[in-house]
Amino acid sequence: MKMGENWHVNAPWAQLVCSTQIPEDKVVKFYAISNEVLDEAEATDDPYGNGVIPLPWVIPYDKFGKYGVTEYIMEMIQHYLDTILSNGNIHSHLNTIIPGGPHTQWHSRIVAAWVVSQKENDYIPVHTHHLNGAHEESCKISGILYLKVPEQMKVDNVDNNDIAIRGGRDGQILFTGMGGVDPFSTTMQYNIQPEVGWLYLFPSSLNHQVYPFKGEGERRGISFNIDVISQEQLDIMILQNEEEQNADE
Amino acid sequence: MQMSENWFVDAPWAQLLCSTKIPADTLQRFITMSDEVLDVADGLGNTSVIPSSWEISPEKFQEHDVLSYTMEMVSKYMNTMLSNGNVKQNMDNVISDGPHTQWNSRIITAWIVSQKEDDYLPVHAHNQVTADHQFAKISGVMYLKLPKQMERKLDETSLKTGKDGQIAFTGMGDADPLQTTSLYNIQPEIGWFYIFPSTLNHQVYPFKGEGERRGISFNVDFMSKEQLEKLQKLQG
Repeated sequence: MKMGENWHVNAPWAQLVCSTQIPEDKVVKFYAISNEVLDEAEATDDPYGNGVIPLPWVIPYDKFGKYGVTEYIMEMIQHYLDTILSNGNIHSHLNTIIPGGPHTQWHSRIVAAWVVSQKENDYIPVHTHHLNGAHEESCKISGILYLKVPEQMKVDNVDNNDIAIRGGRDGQILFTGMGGVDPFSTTMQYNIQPEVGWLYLFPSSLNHQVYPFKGEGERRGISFNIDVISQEQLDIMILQNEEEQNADE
Repeated sequence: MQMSENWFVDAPWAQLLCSTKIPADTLQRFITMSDEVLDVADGLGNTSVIPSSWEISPEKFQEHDVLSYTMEMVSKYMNTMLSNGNVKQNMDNVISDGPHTQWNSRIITAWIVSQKEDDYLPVHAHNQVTADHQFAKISGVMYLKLPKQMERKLDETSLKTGKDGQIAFTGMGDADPLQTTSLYNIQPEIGWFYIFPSTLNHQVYPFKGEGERRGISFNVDFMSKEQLEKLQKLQG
């Protein structure tokens, strides 16, 4: 991964977390999507399912298109893909382990998306997104973006001392990556204070959780899962389908 | 770590491998230094298939005017590592007397590796504590000479499977089946300089034929201004 003029950083053994600040007009649109989803679901869904873990509010596929944010999401996914493909030998790794390679072009699509609306004491336990139930679609990349943060959690209102970032605080998202072998230059726990308008992209296999918070307000975000397939894999699938159809005839 | 405008990449659980191309004039000075060390030490060569290393005194770096370049690159590595997620906070937490405001580095050991046909280096890391309690935390390797047959264009598959004369780094993590791999083989190229945590396992595969695969390796210890101040206070 090129980080500057004549300076390259690589760690192909690492699950990468990429982040970017969403343009303001897009944040407004994502916020409108979340309002609509919560309004529509309000009368029918049980927000907790008898526990402290808030249930997700599913976003139908057409909502992103309706509000004109699909292109932005896919552009950021492409940026994420380009980043991981430039991380050491990941490109050649993918060509080796995924049949049909070398792979020249990658296609992505959103396979699931949902709103997470957390209130006082709500938490989300450690989980990943890549081991779905049999009824769910597989995914490879996941994302989360923040739309609302309670006043007491806003970065300006938090005593942002350094230890808290390592030690964990109310309402933070905690990523737990594999590795952490070097006593100085690595750590397995990465706590992030949520900020409205920030988007995080990461491998669906990366463990994460959200700590509860106290007081008024809502911590709201949109999460989504992405599946990725190469042009060459698609070509193989099309060919197999044609062969099966010919055999049936 | 900021990679570009509004795009940040972080993986604080990862051992980072940084690389840069050495300017031609500096490279020439490293080559001259290695020639001088090998000339003086002539006769202390191999006793097995693993080549012995030829020690370079830290003063030699000064003498050949490559010390400031080396330390500048180490400092760049430190800055990269400290911008990786919460690694700075981790260092403030795990190293006593934090928060740490400034880091001082120095070369504690350096050596030449001169490999000929069939020589190899088994898997190892450099994070040992030396007899005088210095602690290697960052390591580096740079390439000065390569056999002709290794200067070929690399096919992509070999990056994953390994080839003669490559250095193979084996990093911890590798939790994602698609987006990560624990094995990273690098085809050495003259003038390229790699810097990594001393804990990162690596090895070098043997090669066949004429020629020499020559590099300089070194270990660096670092200490914060606050640690130094405390040490000085304790020593009166």
